[in-house]
Amino acid sequence: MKKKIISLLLCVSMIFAFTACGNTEDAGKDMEKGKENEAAGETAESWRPAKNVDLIVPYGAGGGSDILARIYTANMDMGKNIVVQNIEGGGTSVGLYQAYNSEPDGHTITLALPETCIVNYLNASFQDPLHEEMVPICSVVYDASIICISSKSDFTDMESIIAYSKDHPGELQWASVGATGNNRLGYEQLCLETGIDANFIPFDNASESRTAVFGGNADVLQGAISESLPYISSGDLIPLAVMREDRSTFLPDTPTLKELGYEVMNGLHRAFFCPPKTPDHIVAAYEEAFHEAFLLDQTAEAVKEQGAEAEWLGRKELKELIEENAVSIKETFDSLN
Amino acid sequence: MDYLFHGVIQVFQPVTLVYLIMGVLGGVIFGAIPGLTAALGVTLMLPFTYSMTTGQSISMLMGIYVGGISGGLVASVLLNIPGTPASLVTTFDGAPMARQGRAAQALSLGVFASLIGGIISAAALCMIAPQLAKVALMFGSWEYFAMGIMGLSVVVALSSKNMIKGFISVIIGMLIAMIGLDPISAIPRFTFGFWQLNAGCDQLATLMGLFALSEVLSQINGIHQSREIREVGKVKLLPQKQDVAGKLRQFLSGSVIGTVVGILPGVGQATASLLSYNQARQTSKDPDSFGKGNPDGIIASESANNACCGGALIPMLTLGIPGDQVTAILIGGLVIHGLQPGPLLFTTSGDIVGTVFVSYIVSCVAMYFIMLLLMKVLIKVLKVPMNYLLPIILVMCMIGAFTSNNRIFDCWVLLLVGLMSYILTKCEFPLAPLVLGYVLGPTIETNLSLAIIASRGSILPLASRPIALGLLLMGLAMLLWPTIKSVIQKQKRRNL
Repeated sequence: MKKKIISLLLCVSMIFAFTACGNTEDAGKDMEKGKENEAAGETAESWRPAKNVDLIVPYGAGGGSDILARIYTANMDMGKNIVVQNIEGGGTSVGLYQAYNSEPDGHTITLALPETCIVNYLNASFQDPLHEEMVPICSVVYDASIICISSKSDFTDMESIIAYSKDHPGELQWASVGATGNNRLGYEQLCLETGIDANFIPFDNASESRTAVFGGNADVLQGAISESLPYISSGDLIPLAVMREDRSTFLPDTPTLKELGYEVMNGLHRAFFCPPKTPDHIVAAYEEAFHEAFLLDQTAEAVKEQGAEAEWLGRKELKELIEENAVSIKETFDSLN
Repeated sequence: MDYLFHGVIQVFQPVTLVYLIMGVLGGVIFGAIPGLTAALGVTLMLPFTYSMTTGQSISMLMGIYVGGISGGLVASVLLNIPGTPASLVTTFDGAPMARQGRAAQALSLGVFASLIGGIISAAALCMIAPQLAKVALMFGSWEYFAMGIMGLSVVVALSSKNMIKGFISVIIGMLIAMIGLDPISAIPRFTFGFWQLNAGCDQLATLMGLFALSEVLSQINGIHQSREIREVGKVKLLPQKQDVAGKLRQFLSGSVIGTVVGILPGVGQATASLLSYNQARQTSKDPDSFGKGNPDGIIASESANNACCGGALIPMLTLGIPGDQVTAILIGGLVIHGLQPGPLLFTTSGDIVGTVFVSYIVSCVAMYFIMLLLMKVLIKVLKVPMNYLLPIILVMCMIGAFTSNNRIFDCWVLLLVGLMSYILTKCEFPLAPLVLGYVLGPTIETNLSLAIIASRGSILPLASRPIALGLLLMGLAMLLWPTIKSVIQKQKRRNL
């Protein structure tokens, strides 16, 4: 009996020791925050983190966003280390909410896709307008969507797909990712513009949607350029149109939808944010550090290798872009419902 | 075969070999400790490999992968707690064998089965990877749905005592899997306002709660009773001839099932070993001895879960589609070195493909020897009093649950799930079917929804899918097999 009690106690004490760890951590943060407030008279140039910074990446290790974040953390100089924390799941909501609920003291920043935040807020999978409340730092990459078919497909170009879909409504299988995300938005805009009537199949991730197209279980693939490029260069995918304003530097021979006469643009900005209410001078310091890293040759090289189109938007431009997109995306949403 | 030669050159460099062996050793230890898994090991090591050369980083990650999946066997046999979810099925027969004083036999057999499974899937990987990859392409949403349903029929094998309770367990498992954002419409389900639950209950925390915590609680219950004397038995490192002789069929079928399941994306080791175990049990002359310490159960489980690793590498290399959780992370490891797994990899970087092949084979062999060497030490765990061991296990599980997402929330998930499963075991609900529902639920749900979206609400296209129909019929046959069997036996008796 004695043994039983002792071991039970041991177990319980271990558990408490563990949970206590979490609490003391929080307490420590509060204290440090107090110290920082004392030193808040610093200017933008001189603000530097007092300890290592957590950069939350709401995707798993090894994905496009993770690699981008790691390229930047390796090339940024903030005096302290910037440590990537992969917190994935829930369609980025778990990681983003963690960032959203963090202390606005500059020691937590996050990578986020503003378009995804807007769409997720409008379709109620995010309860809060994260894109409005989080403080934008900058956007470093614009990854537009592209429409592809399998090399074994009978289709030849965008027009043949549109014509087929009009003649056979509901028969074309349109593979993409996410039922209510940014891809769906682009698809619906395309439908309004062209009169396409297909089945939008929302796969879990890009590789699943690609497999469906390779295996003949879907006809058309709509996905990010960066994710499709390797398969385009291997000849397995044939690019039909990019959903950009102008042609992609990676695919100079592929027309834009705009050139084909359909005004549809769709893509994702990979951007960095601070938690809500982060003081201005901290955000400015980050913007500067990111911009310095953006201009480095080795950053540009590494980003290009990932098939991502580097495009700089500072915090002012990014904020404007988010506000514009929030309005236009809401309009599309309303016209669909 | 040219690339195999390049692979040998890459892997057989002193530094690379050291990384590989370190990886295997670390993986085995990670795998052997309940709460720390292969996936966790690879995730934690991944950022460190960014600065290595491509060959070194592949070798090390592959070592952790193989070691981690294999190491789980140790805890399964010795503690009745799966070291990793992959070796869950090994507990069914491994733990009873250990109780009967045959722990050493169970371990050496399991390690040997792991080696065979690894080698056979490696052979498939080297020789017919591109052809095998087509299997993955043949599977559309209907096929995955049908395979999930077929997998569920394993419940019959897992709950022979009380079928109703088995089915209830499956349903509970599927309900737990439904927590979080709906996979299609992204609407939160059963989250009760906790945004932390948007991604569902963390898999590691849930599985460790189910098996480790409930087992710890059950053992605490009996800790004051005079402990059964746990014989270590004579430790023989190599599996004995009489254990292995005549078991070729068991080794082969486990390996083949493992490889095929591995090729299918998103299915994973736990399902592979469950299917293999079910197959071994149903084709056995003595199915009732399964679950009571039948060595065939260990062979089925361990050969399948290791073969699954080789299988999972096939779609990863040829199509860029991860076959399981760990290969999904491995893809990231390759991408960071500027390599895009997929159809181009074989032509543009044949040496990398070769490195993956060779490092996988070398890891399997290294795993075999490292496990044999460690066995003498590890088996002493049996002599450690439970009142020291249990708190350590509990802490390790907590660390595992915490590390996978770096948050305390998942520790609470572990505790709650553990408490729930303890109550369920007390009410004599079998836990294995619960895992079945938990693991297969999302596959079934997502793919059924996708298939129905593609056909605009009709289930008729299922009839035009031979593979899917075949899988469903197989599931039905597995479900009805015990009934059919008893009818046949009655007939036989009547004829006598």
